[in-house]
Amino acid sequence: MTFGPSPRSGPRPLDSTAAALCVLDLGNGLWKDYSRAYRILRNVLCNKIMAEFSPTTETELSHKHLTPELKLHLITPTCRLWTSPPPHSPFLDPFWAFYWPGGQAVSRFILDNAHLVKGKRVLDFGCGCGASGLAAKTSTAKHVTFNDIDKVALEAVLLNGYQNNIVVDSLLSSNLIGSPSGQYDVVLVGDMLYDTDFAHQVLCWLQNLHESGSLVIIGDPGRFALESHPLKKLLMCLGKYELTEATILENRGYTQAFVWTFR
Amino acid sequence: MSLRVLVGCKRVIDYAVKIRVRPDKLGVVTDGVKHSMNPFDEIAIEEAVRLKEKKIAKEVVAVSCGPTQAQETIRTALAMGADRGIHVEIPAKEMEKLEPLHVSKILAKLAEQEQAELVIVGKQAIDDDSNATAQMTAALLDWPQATFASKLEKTDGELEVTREVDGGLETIKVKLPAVVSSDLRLNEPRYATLPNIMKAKKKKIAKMKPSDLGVNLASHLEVIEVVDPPTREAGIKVEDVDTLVTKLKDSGRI
Repeated sequence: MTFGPSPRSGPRPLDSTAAALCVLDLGNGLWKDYSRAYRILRNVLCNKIMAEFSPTTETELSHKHLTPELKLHLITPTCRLWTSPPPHSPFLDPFWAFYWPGGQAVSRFILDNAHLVKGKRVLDFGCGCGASGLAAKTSTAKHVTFNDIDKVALEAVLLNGYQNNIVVDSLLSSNLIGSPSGQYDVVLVGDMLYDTDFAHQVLCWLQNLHESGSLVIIGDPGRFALESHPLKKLLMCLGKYELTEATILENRGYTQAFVWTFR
Repeated sequence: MSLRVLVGCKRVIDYAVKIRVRPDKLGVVTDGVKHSMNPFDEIAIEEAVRLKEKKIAKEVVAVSCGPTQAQETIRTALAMGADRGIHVEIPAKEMEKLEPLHVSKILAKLAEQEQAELVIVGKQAIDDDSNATAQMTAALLDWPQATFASKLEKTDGELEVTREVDGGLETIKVKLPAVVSSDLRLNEPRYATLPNIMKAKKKKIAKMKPSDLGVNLASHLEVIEVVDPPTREAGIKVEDVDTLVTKLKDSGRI
């Protein structure tokens, strides 16, 4: 995602969300912190589709999850899209609109073990709604990079950061699998091991990151792709959480989530 | 103990569609007709997912034998909470010749390959009403069978199954591994919502052919004729009870 102005010049109509944020920002005296975030938001929200269906209008601010201290824009049973078939969704695969069980476990774990990220450079890989990265920021991480290949997810991260008075350090929409870690002390991976082939790629990369010195923290509800992978033997369990009823409802078959790291 | 559960789900003409017999009287019209998962199989999937939620099952594998569109049926099962799918491809034109014995052989072979300890299928499919797949699968595997289940409970290494029989309810115990067929009252399947449908798209569906499993689809049955059920004649109204009794006596009903 670029931080510069949009290629189209001249005044642009403001989306009501962006306008509301602008007023709130000035009112709270937070304008300076949010000016960059606001510019990104404005660029994105000026897109016609986003102006009609922004993550704010199609979601509810929810705290019915394992990290109630974070309010997140999520599609919940009260939202129109909850019962819509996917083709009716204005967003292509809005994975950012659901707080996956593995992500919840990682975020809870980070909030409860703030010392692991304090003053550290953190990557929230496949961040979705950004909850794990926001948890790291709350736990006084030095710098958090939110990474997701879905740009709408990164927009949701900004909105969620705003809702929780957390400054979003940086956003990255490239596919990082296979890239060297160097720059991150801690890598958070919430519920990315859903598909057997993809999980294999991710796990091999994470093992490399671990070997080059990063602390890798994985959250997973017991998906088959992780349970059946040979690298599972190298992981140790750091935490186990019972999911809330609302989460069980949107994750048929899972009632718990686990936090893992490489031994 | 944590079980791997194999669940069979068949793509059938939707229960709400009015069935039409083909002009050649050798089958029913399927082209352009809405299809969905056999309702008894939906109940089977739901039960397997509930076993997983109770930590009795560790993995639920949904299997469907059929043409390309059978993958939609598997996706539905995945949205309901199955972990992965297996699509055994049967070309559309061979579908009519697919018999319960073939499906049973496929399920039995897959149960062995996947090291499943429990196979759940619907008690019958609403298209051909055969009510044979569960029984034949159990026979081929030489596993105990619990058919027409309306309640399932796991005890140590055994399943306690309540069955719907003519006289009422019968409760039996079967040792695992076993084959169970689901009856209507086993559970009420939950409606799949957007988050579950989206997540189902990321789950894996393996594809294979019957020949990969060493199953030969040679026919054992021949369809001679398919006809509509006779149309019911309209009833008549009678003045009083006496006339009713007379009419019934005259028609030899009492």
